[in-house]
Amino acid sequence: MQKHLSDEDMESTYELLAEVIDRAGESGEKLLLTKLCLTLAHKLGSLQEIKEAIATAEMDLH
Amino acid sequence: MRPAKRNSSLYFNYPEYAFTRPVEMEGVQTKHSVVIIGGGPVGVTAALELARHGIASVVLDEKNTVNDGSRAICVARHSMEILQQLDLSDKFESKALPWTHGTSYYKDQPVYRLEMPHSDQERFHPMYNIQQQYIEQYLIDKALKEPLIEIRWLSKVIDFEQNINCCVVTVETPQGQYKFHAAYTLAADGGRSAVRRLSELKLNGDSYEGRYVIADIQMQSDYPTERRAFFDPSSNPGLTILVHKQPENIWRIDYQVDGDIDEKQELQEERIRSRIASILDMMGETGSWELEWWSLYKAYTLALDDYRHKRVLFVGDSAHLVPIFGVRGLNSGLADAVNAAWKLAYVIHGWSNDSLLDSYSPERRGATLDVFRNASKSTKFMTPPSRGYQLVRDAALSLALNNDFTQHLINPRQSQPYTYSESCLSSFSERDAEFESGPQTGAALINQRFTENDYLLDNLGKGFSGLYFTDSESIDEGLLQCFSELNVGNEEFTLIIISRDTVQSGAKTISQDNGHVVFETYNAQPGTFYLIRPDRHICARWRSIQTNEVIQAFRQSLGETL
Repeated sequence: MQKHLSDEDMESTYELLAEVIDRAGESGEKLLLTKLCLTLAHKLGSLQEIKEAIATAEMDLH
Repeated sequence: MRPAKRNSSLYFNYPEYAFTRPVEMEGVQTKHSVVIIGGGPVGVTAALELARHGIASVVLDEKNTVNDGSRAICVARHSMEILQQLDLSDKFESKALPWTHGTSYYKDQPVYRLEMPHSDQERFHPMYNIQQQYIEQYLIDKALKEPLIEIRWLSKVIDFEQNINCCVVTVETPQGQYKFHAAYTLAADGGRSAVRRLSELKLNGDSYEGRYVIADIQMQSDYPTERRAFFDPSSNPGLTILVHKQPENIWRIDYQVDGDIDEKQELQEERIRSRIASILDMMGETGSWELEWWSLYKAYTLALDDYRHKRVLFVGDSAHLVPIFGVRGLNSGLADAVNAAWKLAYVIHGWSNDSLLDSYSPERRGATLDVFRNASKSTKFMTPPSRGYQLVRDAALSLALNNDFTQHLINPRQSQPYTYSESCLSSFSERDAEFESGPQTGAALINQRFTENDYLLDNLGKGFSGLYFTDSESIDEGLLQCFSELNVGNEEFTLIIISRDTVQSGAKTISQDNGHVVFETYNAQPGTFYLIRPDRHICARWRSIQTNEVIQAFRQSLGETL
């Protein structure tokens, strides 16, 4: 059974992400987000789940 | 290119070899066994290895000296082991700078410490830095003393064809042209191979984004010999720099140039000087320096589809071009030379039939494709080909400042010998599978220390060798009979008998205190046997020797179809 964030924790994540992107500024946000992805991928520990997450994120970009 | 005011090297006296009129120009018809086109390090190594196996060769080179400028500088352990068999490793060790470590920096801060595999079981360091000029000179000096090798300088191949019986080479010299015949050709004539062009063959593969200026400077510095890579340094924002120390206080500085910059402008001496000055400043070097040479480099992974073209074997850069970052150009060329040479020698002696040569391309092209896989990763890391690669690379480097989990992405994947596990010369994979560890079938032997100055690889002979592990003082008749069948022509089988406290090799028996380590490294038990080819690769191995299978494996590695 997959573990998901609670609605409350997802809301906190939403805020944290918004704040850290603002702190990084336009010049740093890309690097920040990529570092975040590599770090989360490392913690997730499953290539399959990483692939699924990439596919989810890639939908409806433009 | 050299600085405008100087036309000689700061440290190397280029020899001048004279043209000698060959007998063919006096009307003598000849047919040589082997012609080697190209007297660079790969061609001359092949000539020396052929001579070691008793085969004469003629080497043609269009120059009258060694290669000029900044070329190969890193000689890997595996190459030193090849040079040891050619009795040249002492000469190389007396000049070359050994190294084991490297450091990668991101924005001037260390993020990765490279440690090459090394132990006290090894005679040689993982890597040595030495300029190609010295490499060539040492090889040529040795070849000039070898009666079986004739080097013909100022001899340019202008036409090349082959028929069912031989190769016909047309040579242009300062005194006119001549033709001669050779049974086989080794094309060691480099990236712009004339033999390849005249045979209408093409390299296929990819080219990579990013160009590097490769510069050699002379500078006094106490910094130790190691590989340094600087990513996005303050001196060259967004770009990559590689630094290596070489003998004679020469430093190799490879720096990436911006994709948009005009090449001609970038290669101007003043521009080179100011770039190097800011790099040295970033590195904290304050002493004076002089510019020796510079050139422009772009990475490719290109190879022929087949390294054998009937009577021609392509060796080194004529067969494949690889990116410099894993130091595999020269090192894989030397492995090509030895692989091709022993097989060619055995075929010319009549010890094997011509089909043995068919194993050359799968083995060495397999090695190239393996190099490509690694080199393509390291090249994309050194010089990201797109915005995506750039961003992820920078993210991995930035994370490495404070974390371990991206470290392995930064590993430069330096040259390692290739395992010929799929080769038709390797056999008994089911016996190989009975081992839990140790060098597998097709792999190169791993060195082991027997005593302070006696190592496993020192004991190998010219022909096939075997490692037999035992706890008994005597060897039974059946085994001795089997081993006696492993001689090839005048190349005797070399048996190395390893017990936990002695090693017996030929007439020599030595006490050693390292037996348990050797047993462990080779995952051996009493009765274990490794059969070794003349180029130190393992034909097959048995946890418990099976004499009938040993004979079969031996025949198979001579190219016989069983």
